[in-house]
Amino acid sequence: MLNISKIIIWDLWKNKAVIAYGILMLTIGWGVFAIEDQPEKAVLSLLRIILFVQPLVTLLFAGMYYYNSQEFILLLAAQPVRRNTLFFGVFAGLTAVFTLIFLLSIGLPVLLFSPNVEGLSLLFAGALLIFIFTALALLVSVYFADKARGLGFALLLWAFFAFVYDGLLLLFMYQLADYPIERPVLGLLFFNPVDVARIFVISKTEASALLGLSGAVFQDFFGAMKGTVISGCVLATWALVPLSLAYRKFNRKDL
Amino acid sequence: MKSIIIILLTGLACGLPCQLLSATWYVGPGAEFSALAPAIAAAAAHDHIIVLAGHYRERELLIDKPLRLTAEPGVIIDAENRAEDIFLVTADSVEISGFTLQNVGVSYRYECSAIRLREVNNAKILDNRIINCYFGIYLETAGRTDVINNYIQNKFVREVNAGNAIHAWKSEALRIHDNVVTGHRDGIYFEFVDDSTIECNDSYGNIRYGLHFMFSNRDAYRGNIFRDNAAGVAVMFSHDIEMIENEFLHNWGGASYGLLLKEISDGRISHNRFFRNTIGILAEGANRLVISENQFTRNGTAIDIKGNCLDNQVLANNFLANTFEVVTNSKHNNNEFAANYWSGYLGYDLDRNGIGDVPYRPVDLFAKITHEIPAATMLLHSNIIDLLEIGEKNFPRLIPLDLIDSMPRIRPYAYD
Repeated sequence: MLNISKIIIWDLWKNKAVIAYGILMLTIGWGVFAIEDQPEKAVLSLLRIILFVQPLVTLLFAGMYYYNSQEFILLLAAQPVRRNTLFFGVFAGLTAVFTLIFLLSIGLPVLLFSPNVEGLSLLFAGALLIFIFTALALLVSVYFADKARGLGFALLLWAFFAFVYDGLLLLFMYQLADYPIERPVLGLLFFNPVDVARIFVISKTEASALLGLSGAVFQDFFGAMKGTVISGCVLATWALVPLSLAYRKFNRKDL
Repeated sequence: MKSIIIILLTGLACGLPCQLLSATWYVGPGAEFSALAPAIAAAAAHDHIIVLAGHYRERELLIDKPLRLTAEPGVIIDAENRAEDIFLVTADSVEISGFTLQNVGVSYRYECSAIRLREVNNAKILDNRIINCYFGIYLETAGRTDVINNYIQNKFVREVNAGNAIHAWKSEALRIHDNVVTGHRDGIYFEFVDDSTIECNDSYGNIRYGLHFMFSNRDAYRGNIFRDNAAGVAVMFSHDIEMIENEFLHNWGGASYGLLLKEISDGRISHNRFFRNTIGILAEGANRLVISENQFTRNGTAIDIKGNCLDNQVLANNFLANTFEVVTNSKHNNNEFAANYWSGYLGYDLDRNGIGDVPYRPVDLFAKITHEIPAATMLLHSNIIDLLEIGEKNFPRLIPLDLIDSMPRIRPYAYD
């Protein structure tokens, strides 16, 4: 598995898109702190990047990479290599590169300029989102044999998690505004990994805004240690479930 | 010649301050008095009583003549949790300094306190430590009185059986300076107190307000620190109040704010710092106030200004990294916002005069949404909200159109 990951990492390292993405993220990550003299505002700007740009790039690029290296995977599958080694090798290689870029471009400046709970929770949430969206990308690519359909679906998935879901949630809240919907909404948030990551960070940075009438329910939940653990677990589940589904499919699939 | 000298001497003697003619009494182990009460009874007006170090179990000390009471270091007067005042002052020009007063019990019928001043003028309460007393210093119809450099502490838990640290009622020309008040119901409580100043006090960890102001006019408070109080500072039903260079820090909680303004008018709020409060300023029925040159940093809501506030001027403040900058419940705006720095401002400054060329609307759509559906706070910083926000900023339909800062600063207002 390590050998396969190593090959993939070396291959990705020479990929022009990866280099371009790395440079973009480096500029944003370091630039935000250079422009913004308030570290807490910079953390918020980075939160937007992590919730918006990073899932998109991870999802599209990981999917594209899988489709493009299908022949390579086919070749390896013909060798005496177990399929799980192959699959997890690809997954590990992809996430390793994305996490490395993330840590260099956002992790380092955050640790340098804003080394506190807020910064650390941002890094934790961002890293987990990479795992989640790489797993989702593999799931989509394994299910759709056709590249165009697969990438289209991945794009759809991103749009859904990035804003459509929240829009529907907002609509739902408008319809049922007269009822005590705090707890149902809290539950519904768990069905979107982007939301969980967002809330996870916000509950550390801007807890004050979340106070007030319905914030109390919420603060009770996310402010405490329990909330941190639960949202961490939910994010982990969001990575593990698509990964295991993709693995099952990959294992049985006629490559 | 002789008669002239006599006349001169008589004249001089009349002009001598009476303190020089006053006697000094000592109280303490081995001194002429072993307890305070007999010493106070024996002293004549304007005498000086010096209390030597020791633990005195006394209370109900009535001071009905002008006296100076000074405690040496290590003087403790203990009321042993009985619900009675320790000092009750009913004469003018009394000075009480350097005492440690402790354990005044809680009563539901009488607001017993460590030092109570009743209908007096020119009193001075200096350098005392008041620990674990129901009320600390209670000023009842006092005039020109100084309360300076006292430390008043308690550990109340419930509001109903907690008293205030410094409680002033129907007084005027007080000077409340350099005190530290903590763990009481209200740190400093003013009711019908006019023409007074509150300066450089530190009020923290009180279970209701750090400073509570009712029906008090023409007062000023400057340079105080109000931090970690359950509900912040409340200024209500008053006019001509100056609030300058105070710090409002970490007033945190569901019903908490840095500064509550309710039914007040013609005041000035300048050079204050609001840091990490649930709401920086909550204004209800506040009129003709000038809110200028304040720093609002990392508050949940910087200013919540209700629709019944008229003709306030919000000028040259810095709004830095607040989740909501201005919140209102009205579609109209009767206040002036100008020349503030808003960290949410994204405009440009082509002519480089330090003022943004595009006006700024500090009320955002999300504030309005959460006002209607509180549960929507959970979508804070969601991408969909950001998208809606961009649309609303460019084509405003829902947010108050006329709540606008037409000349927002490009850089934060710089303090000297």
